[in-house]
Order: sequence, then C-alpha cells, then structure tokens
Amino acid sequence: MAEAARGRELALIDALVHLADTLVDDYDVIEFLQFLTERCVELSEVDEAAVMLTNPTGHLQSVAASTERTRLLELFELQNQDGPCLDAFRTGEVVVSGDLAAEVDRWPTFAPRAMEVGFSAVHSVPLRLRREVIGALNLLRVSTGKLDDADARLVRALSDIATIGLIQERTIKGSQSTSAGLQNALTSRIRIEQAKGVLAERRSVSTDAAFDMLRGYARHHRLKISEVAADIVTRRLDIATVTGGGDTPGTD
Amino acid sequence: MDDRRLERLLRSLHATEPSRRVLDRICGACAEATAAQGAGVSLIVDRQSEVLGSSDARAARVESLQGEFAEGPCFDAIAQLRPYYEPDLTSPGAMRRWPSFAPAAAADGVGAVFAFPLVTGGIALGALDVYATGAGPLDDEQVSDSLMFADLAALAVDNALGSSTIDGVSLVTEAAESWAYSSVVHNASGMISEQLQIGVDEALLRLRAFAFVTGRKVADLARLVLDRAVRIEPWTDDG
Repeated sequence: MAEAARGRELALIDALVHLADTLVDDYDVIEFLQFLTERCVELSEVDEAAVMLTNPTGHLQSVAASTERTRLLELFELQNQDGPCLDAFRTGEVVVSGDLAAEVDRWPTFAPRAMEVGFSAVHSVPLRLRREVIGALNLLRVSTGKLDDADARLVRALSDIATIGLIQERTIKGSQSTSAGLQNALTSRIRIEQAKGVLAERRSVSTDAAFDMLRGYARHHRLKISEVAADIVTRRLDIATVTGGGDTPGTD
Repeated sequence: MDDRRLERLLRSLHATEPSRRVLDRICGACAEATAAQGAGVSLIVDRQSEVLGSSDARAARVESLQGEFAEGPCFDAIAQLRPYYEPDLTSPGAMRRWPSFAPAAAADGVGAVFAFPLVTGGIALGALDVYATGAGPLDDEQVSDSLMFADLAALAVDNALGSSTIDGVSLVTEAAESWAYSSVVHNASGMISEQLQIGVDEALLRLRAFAFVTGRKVADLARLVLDRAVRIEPWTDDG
C-alpha cells in the first residue's frame, strides 16, 4: 500500500509540474482543464470528471471533460435541473453520494439518467474564485461507494488548481475583469462545440469523432484546440485539411 | 421618411385595440394605413409556417392557406429577401405559380397580395402579407408604409423568439443568447452552418426559428439535427 501511495504521490507531483508549466506558457484554458480532468481520473478512484462553469445566464456549462463524448457532456449539463454539481455550486459545499440509487428523490432528473448510462456514485467540489462560487468539479464513479479521504483531498487540490488556471487565464490575457478568464473559457468551449458540428457535417462522422479530428489536428500542428476551433467555425482554416491524428501530411 | 408619416403610422398603431396581440395590432394598423383589406404575419422556416398575427379573420385564413400549401408570395419574398408583389391573383401567371394557393385565396375574395420579408440579422424569418380585394399595384407610399410595418413586425417576431410570450400569449420558445444552450445546440449550429454555408450565429437563429414553428424545444430539435433525422433546408429561389 505504501508503494501504491508513493506512486500516486509521484504521479500527482508530475501532474502539478505539468500544470505549472502550462500556466507559464502561452496556454489554452480548455486544454489545461481537460488535462486536469484526465488527471482526476488517473490519480483518484473516479471514472469520469468534468469542469462545469457558470455562464452569464447562470447556467452551468461543461467546459472540459475527461472523456469527450456527447452523451457524457449531456449528462453533466442535465444538472442544470438537478444534481450534485448544481448543489455544490449553490451551497459552496462538497456534495457526495456513494449510491445514486438512493438519490432519486434528491436528484429526480440526474440520478436515474446517470445510472442509466452506468454510473453509481458522484462527488462534486465547488470551484471558488475569492468568495464567489464559479462552478464545480464533477466526478463520477461506475461502482458504488464514496471516495476515501486521500482521494477527496486530492480532488479538492485539483479543483483549487482549476480555479488558479482560470485566474491565470485572466492575468495572461491582461483583462481587468474578474470574470474574463471564465468568459473566455466558456466562449472557447462553445466554439469547440460548433467546430465539432461543422466537422461532423463535412466529414459525415459523429461529433465524437469530429472532436478527435479537431484535437488530433491541433496536437499535430502544435496549435491550441480553441484556436483551431475558432478558425474552423469562421472558415479561416480549410476544413479539408483537418483529419484525425495527423495521418495525412498537413500544410505546416 | 418624413416625420408626419411616422406620426401617422404610430397613431394608426396606437388606435388599434390594445387588448389584441402586438402582431395582430401591427397587421391591423398596416391594413388601415395602406387602405388594404387585410394583412397577416407568418413565421416561416424550411417551408413550415406559423401564423403569428392578422388584421382580421380573412387575413388569418389566407395567411394559413399559404402555410398549408407551402406556396404563395410570402415564400417568394423570403427566398429572394425582397418584397414580392402579385397585383392580380387571378392572372394566368399567378395561377401557374401558385396552383393551390392562388385559386383558394381568390375564392376567399383576395385579388392581390403583396409580401414583405421580415428581415433580422440579414435573414428572413417570415413575411408580412398585405391583401387587397381588388386587383392593382400598391403606390409608393403604400409600399413604404408596408416596409415600415414589416420592420416593426420583424422586431416583434425576433423578440418573441427570445421570450416566452408575445403580449402574454405563451409560445414554445427559449432564450436568445447562445449562453443559454447546451452543447448539442452548438454542435447542431455548426452542422447547419456547414450544410447551408452560413455563419454559426445565423445557423443558431435558423435552428431557433425552426424549433419555434415546429413547436419543439431547441435542444430536442438540435438532437434530431445531430442524428440527421431532421435537416433544415436552404431557401430556394425557384418558387
């Protein structure tokens, strides 16, 4: 057990170093948050993770998820009606359920749907920017049971880092407004969703496959996913050159 | 436009029955100001339409005839993004162009139809139709008056798409800002933007309008678009 704990600690340190590196570079907030959700899944006993942020209309919008799948994003967004994320966001407290089957009264929309797609337990941590709650980190587990204390501390630390990333976004972009980093993350996310639609139509593929193309292209050409998405939406980028995983020579 | 005419048009709008819906009042004032026998407003997307307002019962009937047959001057006005006039609905040309609508409207006593597109953000969401019982063209002043009422109607329709009511009458609509929508709606906007080669903002507007006329929630319609079960067609100019 000590070995396993030590292994995890090293992985956490690696993740933190990577995150710190991303922050000083010219960084993409969406990719940063995506990396963070992937680390949540890797380092703790959870199966899926997403960062949800509140948008100007007060809706919780999912901006990054460990697995980029439309059905999963829809599940996260369903929590605009009810769910642990909404509760964490409203109360500013960590919200936990080790068994969703017992929560149908508490979350009549979310609990049945989450179980239907295979999840049994949830853990939501509020994201705080000063005194304000700006969103929540949402974690899903396939098996029942709550996170142990070590995992709970770890995801809390990662949620703090997510908030730092959003503040950093504001500092880097030189904006005066507290919510600008947040706004930028939300807008970038909308661009990515629109770009997925454009690619899905052009290539006759699913939006999930379109996301893989988008990410593959961005990585292959060392571009930010948000920028590639914006260029696709405005047709500044020739969509014909965007294919998955760099399997065709690009124009770089 | 001279101030006196604006004043006259606003007065005619003011003089309409205040308890009626705003688009009914716009239609009523338009018919009154242009000395036409009726006017109607329809929201039209993808050849599906919804009558949103009318000056009187006959205008409402003729307006829904255009929607029912998916033909008539309002469709031409929208496809061409400019007014479309038919000064003689009983002419052989009109009968050929609208084989179902023209005889049906003529049977209801309509002699001429003048359609004005409701343009918002560069796209047409619907049309204002001015109906006359006799044949003959509108004069310049009648045309300018109608254009102004069409602008007013476009404002009212655009507003209605972003709220839940038109003057308290409940409609299946959702918020106008893109923030309010879930990821599938943005996926669908991207898809429609590629299908129709239009911008994503315009695609979202088209999606909202189509949801409105078909009585669906925007997110539900977006899901159908993503599943390729529904396709929003471009306007065509072939009548």
